[in-house]
Amino acid sequence: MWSKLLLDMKNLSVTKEPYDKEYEELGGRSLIAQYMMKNVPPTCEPLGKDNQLIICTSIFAGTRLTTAHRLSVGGKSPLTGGIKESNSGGSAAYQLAGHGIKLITVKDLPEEEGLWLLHIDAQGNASLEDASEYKGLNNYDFVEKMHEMYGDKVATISIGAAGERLYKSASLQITEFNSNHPSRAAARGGLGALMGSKGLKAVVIENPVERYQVEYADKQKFDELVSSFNKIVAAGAKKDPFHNIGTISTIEVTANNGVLPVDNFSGRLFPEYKEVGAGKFMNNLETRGGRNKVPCQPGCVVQCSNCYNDKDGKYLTSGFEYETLAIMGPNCHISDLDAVAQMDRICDNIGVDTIEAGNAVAMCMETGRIKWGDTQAALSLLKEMEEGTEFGRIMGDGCEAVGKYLGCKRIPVVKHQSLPGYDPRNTKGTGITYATSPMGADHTAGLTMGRAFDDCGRSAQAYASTKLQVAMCFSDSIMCLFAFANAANDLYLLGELMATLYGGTPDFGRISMLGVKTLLTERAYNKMAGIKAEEDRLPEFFYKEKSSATGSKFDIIDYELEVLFDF
Amino acid sequence: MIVVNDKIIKFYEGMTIADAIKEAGEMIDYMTIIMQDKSIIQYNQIDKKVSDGTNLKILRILSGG
Repeated sequence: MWSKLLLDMKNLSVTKEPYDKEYEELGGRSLIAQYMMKNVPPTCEPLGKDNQLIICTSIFAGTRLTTAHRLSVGGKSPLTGGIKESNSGGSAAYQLAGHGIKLITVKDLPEEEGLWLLHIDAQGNASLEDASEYKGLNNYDFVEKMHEMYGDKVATISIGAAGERLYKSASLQITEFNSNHPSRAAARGGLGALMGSKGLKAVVIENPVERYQVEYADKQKFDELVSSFNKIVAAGAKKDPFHNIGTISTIEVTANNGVLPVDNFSGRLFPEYKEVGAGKFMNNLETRGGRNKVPCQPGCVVQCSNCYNDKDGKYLTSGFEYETLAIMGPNCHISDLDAVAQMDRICDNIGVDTIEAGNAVAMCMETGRIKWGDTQAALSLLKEMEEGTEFGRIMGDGCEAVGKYLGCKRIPVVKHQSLPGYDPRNTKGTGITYATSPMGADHTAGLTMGRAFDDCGRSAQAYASTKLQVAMCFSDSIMCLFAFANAANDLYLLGELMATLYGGTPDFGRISMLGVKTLLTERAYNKMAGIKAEEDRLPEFFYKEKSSATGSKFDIIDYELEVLFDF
Repeated sequence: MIVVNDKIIKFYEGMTIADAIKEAGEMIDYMTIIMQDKSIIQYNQIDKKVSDGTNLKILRILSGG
């Protein structure tokens, strides 16, 4: 039977209890939605005692389903003020599943000044330990210490100085399987600040002496189905640029179609994109001893991650992704791949969302505080975040905080969260997702980019966004969306896998209804939290300014956004 | 011979990338990325000639990240 760990930071206690039967067939985003609706008051203060940090694994955790070991982190977001689920790859979910732990909740606030970590030892004993000696230690140094103490199979979930300082862009960093670097991130929504407010520095999970054995309704049938499913994903991955290159390859598509954000979503093209493109990336990997095709979790067949070295062949960063590249690169008029990699390293180390940090840098450029394309000045701004200077702390609160402070008129945020690497004027379905997702501006909530949708009219764009938002709710409950995308034609197998794991009918409807229920629960939570329908909009400049690449504006009218979820 | 997404097709003198893709029955559009051996080929370069032994990968973006 699965277990849950309940941390009470007021009493500084941790208790282990059986996992709730009512959540049995939930995991990841679906679990967070139902748990929060029941246990976290929607009007609570995000950094107050009534908010809870929730860490959980997926519906298929502990099984051989490829990428089932995504880690989901949830709570009321200090950035958006609404419900937030942020998920990540890495080794932590795999190790939690190995100990039979499905859920960790962290409630209340410490009464005394201090810092603690949750330690799960090889025998599965959980304890809250004093972590004051690690105060101010950033993620790379912290993880190195944990490896020295517990060996290289230990998995960690940690915050850096950013989370300790309660920056609204603070992330949780998770150790990557294979490379062991703290380069996977539950980045969006400032949940690192929520963890910091609880006085929790890290969750440290040792490799279990004996792995937990999942109970199946029909293990033999499950094993047959999962082998078929994994083969389908692996076959798709062979033709997937994320497997062959990495997510950075996305720029080869977005740059030529006006989707790549340039100069704070100016709508212009960026002819220098090849300097930060897939070709340059692959060349640097090959000539400097870096590598791609790195799995971030055991059993992943997509293997989209990478280890990127500097010009001297020394390790610089890993998990170097398109979003970071797009927002810190062309969106800041920067065409230096190594500089962007260095920025990625700084962000992972102090523990901030690279999308939020990059958009904050763009605010500084738009308002003239620093020049467009000035990489040294951009790096200096990130250093200020690291040092915690007065302006560095404003930077740490993200794009909107910096934009308002500097008087910027074009602040690219929805529900206070800044836009990722897709200009919504040229992928309007994605723009609809940004506007209406309970998560704020979030591409992983429903990216519709692709000819089948982008060439179609407004109704088709809205249809695509709604459908994908539901699909992403169940994808975020089950597996990595990159693996999910490669199995898009065979998703019916997920219904059969549910039945052979949990029993019941092998009906895909149980999966799709989970997606609908999760999405509607999140919207209801946000409404109760005070988020109004008028916040389901993009910033005004996307409606008024044409993309100079295509002549397109975001022309989805308010009514179309309002009726999107009238199921 | 030319390999296109693990399919072996017969090389002929003057064959272009576009020809090889068509022979292999693959389709390309703005969501695809073409790799020739380890290099990225831009959409506007598909009229470039290939040499015998070239390995082409036609990769399609499915999601973002």
